[in-house]
Amino acid sequence: MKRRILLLVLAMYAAGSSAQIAESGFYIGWSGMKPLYKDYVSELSTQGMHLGYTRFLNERLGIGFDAGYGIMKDYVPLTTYPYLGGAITTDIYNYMYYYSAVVNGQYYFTASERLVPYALLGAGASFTEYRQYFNVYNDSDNQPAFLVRPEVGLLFRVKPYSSIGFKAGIAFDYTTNQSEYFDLKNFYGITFKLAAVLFND
Amino acid sequence: MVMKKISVFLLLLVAFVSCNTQPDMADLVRYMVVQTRYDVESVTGTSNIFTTYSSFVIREDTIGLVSNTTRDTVLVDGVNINVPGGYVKPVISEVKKNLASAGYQQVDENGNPSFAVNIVVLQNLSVSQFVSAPPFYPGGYFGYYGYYRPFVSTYYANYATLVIEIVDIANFATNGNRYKVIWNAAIGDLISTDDLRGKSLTAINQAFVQSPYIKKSL
Repeated sequence: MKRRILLLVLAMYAAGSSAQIAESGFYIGWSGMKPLYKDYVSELSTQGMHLGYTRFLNERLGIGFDAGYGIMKDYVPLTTYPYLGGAITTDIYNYMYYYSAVVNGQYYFTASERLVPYALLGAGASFTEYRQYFNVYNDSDNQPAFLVRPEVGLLFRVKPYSSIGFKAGIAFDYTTNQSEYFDLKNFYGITFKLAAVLFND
Repeated sequence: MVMKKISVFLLLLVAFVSCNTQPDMADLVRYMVVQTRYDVESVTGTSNIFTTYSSFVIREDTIGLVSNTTRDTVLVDGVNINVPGGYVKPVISEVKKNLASAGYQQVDENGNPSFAVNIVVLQNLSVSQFVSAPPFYPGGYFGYYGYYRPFVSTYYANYATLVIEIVDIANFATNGNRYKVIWNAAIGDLISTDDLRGKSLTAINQAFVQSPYIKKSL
């Protein structure tokens, strides 16, 4: 099985060994996230950023890493929570501070001079800080976890052979950051990405 | 030129992501937190000690104070707390009103009360609103002791909690000659609020609303 995969990678590397996009690219940009697992936060977050590096192996393939940070939040209106021995009434601001770092492998579908669609699969780690704010009090739980991230998007070069470009992508994050403390399961959501890219030829 | 635009974009991005990392304080303190606890041995699915009570005693003009910023041990309207319309008396009055609505009669200390009501403000102590367990009072039933331990943290430097306790007098002997705290309410924060008196009174009413078992037997 390993041999077959290695042969496949080598064949793709050889097939696309000409006219690759660039030697490498560094990018940094904005990211937004829409939780699909909504037990803790559900609103679309626009407060995130990410950066990364890609090494283009050939016209079709690349490898790289991506790191990101985002804040997702939600408001729970004033509610009374009864439990054995008492009750508490409060409104709650749920905040989810989400850090991610993945390594990824990329596939480029076409290699026009300026517009290149891509698909990638990344895997790595996430760190989630669940924090609830209520009045001047707060409570939190931190969860390091495994993260897997498929992503599709477009690379856009301002001019042919320009060192400046842009990148737009949409990714699906699935991470094992369940919290027993807050009774939460694994988180998953859609990430929207826009970034400026510096190509190195 | 493009690099300059990208740099501006990055600066704006970092600034955007860096702001609003916590809720605004004005939003946070819109409502006071109200937590109530009862003694699970005294209020069960089959019995409720509150139905056996008929009367209570309460201090009329002062609220206890436990603080690490002052040596005062009580709050007195116009002396060490100045809220337009008063604070101490309206708070005591609101507690009395709720207990009267629940069917209990106020008596003085010589009137053989079933339970005592303690009201105390805890300020800037390493305590939280989350009371670990109803304690016993070893001495008199009007006691303000540090029976609280941290459960959650506060990120606010100066904070205060209003605590209301119901202390069992009727079963003093059964409880090993100790005054057992049957119920307490913790309300906060008192310092960051924009309407100390109004929101405290609302919170006191909420404490009784979420404690429907405090009711005299008909």
